[in-house]
Amino acid sequence: MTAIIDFLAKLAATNSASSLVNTLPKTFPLTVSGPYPLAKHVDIPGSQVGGELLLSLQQLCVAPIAVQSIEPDADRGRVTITLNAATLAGHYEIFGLETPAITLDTGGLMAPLSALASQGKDADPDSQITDKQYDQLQQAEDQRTRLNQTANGRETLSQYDQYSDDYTDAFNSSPTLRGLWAQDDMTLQMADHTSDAVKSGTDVINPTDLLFGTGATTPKLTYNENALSQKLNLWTACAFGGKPDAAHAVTSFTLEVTKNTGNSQTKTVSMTREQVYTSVQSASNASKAATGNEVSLLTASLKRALDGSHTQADMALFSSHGYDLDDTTLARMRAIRDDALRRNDPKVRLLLWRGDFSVDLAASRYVFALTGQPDGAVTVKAAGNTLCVPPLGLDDSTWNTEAGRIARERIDSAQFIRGILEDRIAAQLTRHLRGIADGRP
Amino acid sequence: MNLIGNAREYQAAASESPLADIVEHLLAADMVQFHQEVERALAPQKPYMTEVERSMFVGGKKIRPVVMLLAARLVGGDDPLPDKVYKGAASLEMLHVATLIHDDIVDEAPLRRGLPSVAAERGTKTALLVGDLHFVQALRGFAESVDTERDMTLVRMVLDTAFDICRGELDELDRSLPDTSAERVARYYQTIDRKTAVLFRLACQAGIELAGGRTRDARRGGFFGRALGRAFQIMDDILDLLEDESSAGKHAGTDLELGRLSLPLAYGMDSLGPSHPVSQTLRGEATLTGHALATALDDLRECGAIDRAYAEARREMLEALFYLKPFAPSHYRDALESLTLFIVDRSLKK
Repeated sequence: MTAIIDFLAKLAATNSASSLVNTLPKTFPLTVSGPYPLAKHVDIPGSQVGGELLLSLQQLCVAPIAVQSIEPDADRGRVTITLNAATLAGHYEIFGLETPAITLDTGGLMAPLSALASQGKDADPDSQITDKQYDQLQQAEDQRTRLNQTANGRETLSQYDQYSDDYTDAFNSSPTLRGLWAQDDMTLQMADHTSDAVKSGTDVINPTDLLFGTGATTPKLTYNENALSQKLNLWTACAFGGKPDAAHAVTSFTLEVTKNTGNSQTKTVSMTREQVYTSVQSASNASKAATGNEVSLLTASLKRALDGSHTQADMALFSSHGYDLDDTTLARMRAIRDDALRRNDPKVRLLLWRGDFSVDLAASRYVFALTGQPDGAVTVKAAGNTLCVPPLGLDDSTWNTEAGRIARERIDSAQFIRGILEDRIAAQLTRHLRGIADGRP
Repeated sequence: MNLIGNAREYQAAASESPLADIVEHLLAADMVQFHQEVERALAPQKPYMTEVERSMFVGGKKIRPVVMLLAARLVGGDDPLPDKVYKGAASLEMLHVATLIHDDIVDEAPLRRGLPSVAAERGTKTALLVGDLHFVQALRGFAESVDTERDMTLVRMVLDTAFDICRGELDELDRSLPDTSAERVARYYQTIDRKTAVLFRLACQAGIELAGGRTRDARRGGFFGRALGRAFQIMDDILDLLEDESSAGKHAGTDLELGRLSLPLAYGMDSLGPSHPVSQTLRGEATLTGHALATALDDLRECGAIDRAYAEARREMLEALFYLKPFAPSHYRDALESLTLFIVDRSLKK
C-alpha cells in the first residue's frame, strides 16, 4: 500500500521532475499501421492484370498530449488519468499488389466465374447455371454415386478427395495453369462431349476422330492429348509448389490408367462409359503397387526434362509411358514451374491514392490497476479506457473506379483497424506510467 | 414458419451485430429446431451431466451451427430443411463442446465463459470422460443423419474431421519450435486447420450436403468454411494478446504465457529477434508473467507483428468471400458475408 501511495504521489506532484505532467511527451508517434488487405482483386489503372488492394497508414502521430486530470484511488489500487482532446494525424496510401485475377470457379465447378451470374435477391440456386450445366452436374452426382458402389470406385474418389485441396491451391496459385485449363474452351468442350457420351452409354468417350478447342490460340487436340497434357500441367504445379504427394498421385493415376486401359497421351484405346467403369472395377492391387517405383523414376526424368538436362534414357522412358514432351509442352510446364517458384516473390506495387489525414480525438480517460510488490515496486496494468478513434475521414474525392468504391466501403467498416490504433495510443501512456513506476525518467 | 418475414426483419437489423441478428431473426425458427435436436441428442447422456456441462450447450455464440444452417439455406433457400440438417448441426455443436472440455483440461483453465470449467468443477478424470461422451455422441449423431448413399461420404468426412481435431490438439501440445520462420508459420496453419478451420469446413460442407446440395457446391462451401475458420482463429489469437477479459478468466497474453505458438507470436519472433523474451519463451527457455509479460505485449504491438497477423486474417476473410460469391444471391448468402466481415471488422474490447 505504501508503495502505491508513493507512486501516486510521484505521479501527481506538480513540482517534481518525475511527475506525469512533467515527463509525458507532447506527442505519441505510432509505428506504421498495415498494410491491410481491402480486396482480393480489383482492376488497377495502369495495370493489365490488376491485383490485391491494400491500405497503409504511416507517419502517425497523436498530439498534443496533455494531462487533464489525475484521479488517484489508493484504497482500490487504481488511478484514472484523463488526457486532453488531441489530434491523430498521418498519411495514408491505397495501393495494389499486382496479381492476376482468378476467373475460374476453382473451389467448385472449374467453370468461368462469369458463367455464374448473379440474378437478384432470393434467386433459385439453379438459376445460377445453364440447363446444360444443371444436367451435367446431376450427371456427375450420379456417376459419383455409382463409383461409390464399388471398392475401387471408392478408392478412386478417395484419392481425388485426399488431394483436392492441393489441386485447388495449385490452380489458385498459377495463372498459367488456369489459363491453360481454360484455353480455347478445350476442356469445356471435352466436358460437354464426355457428358454426352456418358449419357448415351454407347458413344466413345475418348474418340480419335474428334479434335477439341476453338483453335484460336493453340492447335486443337484429341481427347487423350488434352487430358494428359492437363495432367502434366497439374503435376508440374504440384511438384514445384511444395505438394510432392499430390504430384505423385497425379502421376500414379496416369500410369494406372495406362496400365489398365492402354490409354496415354500418344495412344488412344477408345472406351465407352461401361468400359470405363469395368476398367475401374477390374483394376488390380498389383497394377497399383507396380507404379510406385515407376512414379519416382518418371518424376526424376520429368524434372530433368524441365531443366533441359534430360538424357536419351529419359526420352525413352517418356515414350514408353506414352508421354509426348514436345517443345510446346515443355514450354508450358516451365511456365507453370516458374509460377510456382515465383509464388512468394515480392509483387509489383502500384499506388492508387495517397494523402494526409487528421481526426480529432475527444478527451479520454484511462484506468490503471496498481499492485504493490514485496520488493516495494509497483506494477501498472491497463484496465480500460474511453479513447475512441472515429472514422479516419480519408479524402476520397478522387477515389473513382470500382477499386475506390470497395476501398471506401471496406475502410468505413474497419472498426478493428481503429481499434488497433486505439490500443497503440493507450499502450504509449501505459508504457510511460510503467517507466515512472520503474524509476526511469 | 415465416422465413420470408424473418428475412425482411433481418435486412432492417443488418447494421447491428450480425450473429445475434441472424439467430433472432433470419434463422429464428431454425434455431428452435436446432435446440430441440440438441436436447434430443443430449438425452442419453443426461444421467452423467451436471449443470456445468448443460450450461456449455446453453451459452456460447453457436457460430458453428449458425454457419451450418446458413450454408444449408444457401442451397435450400426458404424451403423447409430436412431434419438431418438440424441433427447434423446438433452433432457439430456437441463436437465443438467436446473439444472445449478437453482444451480446458489441457490448459488447466479454471473458467470457461465466466463459469467454472468442467475440469475445475468435476475433476480431470470426469471431464475427460464427459468430453469423450460428447465426442462419440456427436459422431453417432452424424451417422444417424445418414440416409442416402451420398451421405456416406459425409460420414467419412466427419470421421476425418474428428481425427484432425485430435491431431490439432496434439499439435498444440507440441512445444518444439521449428527453426525457420516459414516452418513456424506452416506449423501454425497446420494446427489451426486441424483444430478450428476443419469444424467450420465441416459445418459448411455438411450443411450443403445434408440439404441436398451438389458435391461441387459442398466443396466450394467447404473452402469458404475453411477460410472463415482460419480468419476466426487468427483473430482469436490476436485478441488473446490485446483483450483482457478478467470476467471470463482470461488475461491478455495467455498464449505467450503458455509458450503456445500463434501467428502474431511467430511474426513477433521474426521482428524482435531470437534473444527477445518472446522468442525465448516460445523456445521454452523462459517464462513470462506479470510485468515482464506486459512489457513483451507492448513490444509485440510496436514491432508490427499484430498488424501482420491481422493482414493475414483479412486475407482469409477475402478468400472466404471469393468462395461465397458463386452461390446464388440470397439473404443467407448476405448473412454469411456479414458474419465473415464482422469477424475481422469487429471493434476491440477495452
